[in-house]
Amino acid sequence: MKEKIYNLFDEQVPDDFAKILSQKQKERRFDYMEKKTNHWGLFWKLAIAVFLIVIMGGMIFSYQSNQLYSTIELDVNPSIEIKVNKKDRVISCTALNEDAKDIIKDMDFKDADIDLALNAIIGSMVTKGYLNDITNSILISVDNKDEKEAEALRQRLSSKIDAILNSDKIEGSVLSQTITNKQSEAEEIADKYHISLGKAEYILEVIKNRPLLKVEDLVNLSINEINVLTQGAEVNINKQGNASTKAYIGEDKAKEIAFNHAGVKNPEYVEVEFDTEDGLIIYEVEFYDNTYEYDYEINAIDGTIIKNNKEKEDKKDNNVVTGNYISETKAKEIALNHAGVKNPTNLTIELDREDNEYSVEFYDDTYEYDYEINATTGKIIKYDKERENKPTTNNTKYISEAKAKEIALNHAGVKNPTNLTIELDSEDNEYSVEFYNNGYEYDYEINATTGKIIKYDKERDHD
Amino acid sequence: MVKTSRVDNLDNEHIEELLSDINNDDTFHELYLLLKSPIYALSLTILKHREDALDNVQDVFITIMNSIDNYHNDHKPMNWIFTITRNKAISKLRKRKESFDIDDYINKVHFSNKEDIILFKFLMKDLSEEERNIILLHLLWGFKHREIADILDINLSTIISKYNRAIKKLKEMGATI
Repeated sequence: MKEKIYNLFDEQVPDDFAKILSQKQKERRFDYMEKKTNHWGLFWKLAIAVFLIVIMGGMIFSYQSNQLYSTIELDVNPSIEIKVNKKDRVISCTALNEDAKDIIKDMDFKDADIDLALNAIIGSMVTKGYLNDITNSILISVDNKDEKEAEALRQRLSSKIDAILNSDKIEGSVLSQTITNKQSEAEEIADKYHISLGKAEYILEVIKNRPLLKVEDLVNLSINEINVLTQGAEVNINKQGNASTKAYIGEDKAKEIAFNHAGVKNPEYVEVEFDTEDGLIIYEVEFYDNTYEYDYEINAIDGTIIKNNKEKEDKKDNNVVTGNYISETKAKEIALNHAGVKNPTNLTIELDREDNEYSVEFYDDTYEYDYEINATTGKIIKYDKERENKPTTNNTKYISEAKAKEIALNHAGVKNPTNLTIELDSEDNEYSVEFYNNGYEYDYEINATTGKIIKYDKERDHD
Repeated sequence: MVKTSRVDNLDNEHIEELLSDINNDDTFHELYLLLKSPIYALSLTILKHREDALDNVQDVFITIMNSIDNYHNDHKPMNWIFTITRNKAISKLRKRKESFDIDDYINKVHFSNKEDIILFKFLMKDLSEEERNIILLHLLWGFKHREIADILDINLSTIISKYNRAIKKLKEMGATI
């Protein structure tokens, strides 16, 4: 059992050791650089010390109020970085892109309370049309070394922003996150594309859930656009409210445009999804009719068709995707009838459109069954029946639990143990016996067939 | 299924040996391969989120590497590593609206066979939080019942009866014990 559970979790963790190693090498380089600085001559050290003493005399006063405590980043499309001290008073406020310069050009928040600064900045974003019913998403990232502090500030500021937006009658979508352990990958992205670290972290989270999206596609999108793309995906970020899609024509309209253009009256297997192409938000519409598979990319704002594709299925192949599949129930019935199983357990059924087949799997008391069934004709392509790996009930080869207990107790010279546990590990073919007596804890491993003591251990019980 | 016997090396003595040579990348890798399973399992039970748990595994190893000087060679490296894993995971806990969706998790992760899925579902869903902790700490982390009683702050006889009950359930489920 031990081995089974170990392997169960082990297989869920890919060998990512390379990442740890690269982190280790990075830290080594850093150590090396620090050591290198130590090679500076004594003269320079002294000179610097004298210089610092002089400077510090003047600075010590302003030190407390200028000491960075948290960094807050706001991203809408304007990206702004606010540094605050321990009292949440603003040390500096920096525009990270052109749009942001427009927002904070005349404002001076030095020493102002962060709440006041937020009020002014968000107010300006609303007035200048960066935040409204059509683009309602804002990302706030709080960077503080202390996770708890960061989380507390994140909670406070995100509800503050929500309240500001509400007072402007905007139903906002406030995304928020804390940054305690910076991902080096995020730092690289932020540097390369000149975006905030917070936005880079958010993009990495998005890609984890939508692996087909690419970093370079997302960096130039606004937070609302990224938020729209991830509708329905489980992105690891705190979120209040949903992204506004009011700027877009809507799924139904997109479908209508595609169907009309294709001249298809009864499309099957229609799928519509938001995607991005060349910095635009698009609807990707996919559907089938009897002969063709259609692919459309439609500009989500004005409904123009950006790309369309029509592909004929290979007629020579008998397993044509015609869309006329037999139902799951039918496929299930075919498999169960063939197997002669009435009450299957753990039945799963899956349609593989590419291979045009259903795969049906189920169990009964003794066997595991696997069926592959042609999804059009219902013909059984392949089946397989395997004995389930169940424990055998008559394990006459083992000594009894009572016998194993007796062996351990006799060996220990203990008559009245407390809290005795006994376990049979059939994989290792041994009993493990644990018990307590007179301030000691005893551990025995006993061969389950021969009754021989393999290992024992007696330890002072500290309880 | 490939049979590994890695689990046989999962004891304090061997781990302490590896820790003493952790600056050797091969040794460190061996330690990583050996411990990623218990560390991940514990992280997952606390965080209930795959990516967070995987991140935690990485963080734990980086912490082990960086703070090896803090480890007192007390022959109980698993206790030390357990504490790091738990503290790191707890500090990652964030407020989440979504609850742990086991079916969703199973769809995302590759399991080598059906039996593993059934066992995983059983461990993560059917067992109570306490039973799960007791089973994993005993079987994966190798803690004695008395140590588990300390860690979970539950008295020993409760631990033992819960452990037995959970093992019984596992047996009834049809797993080979």
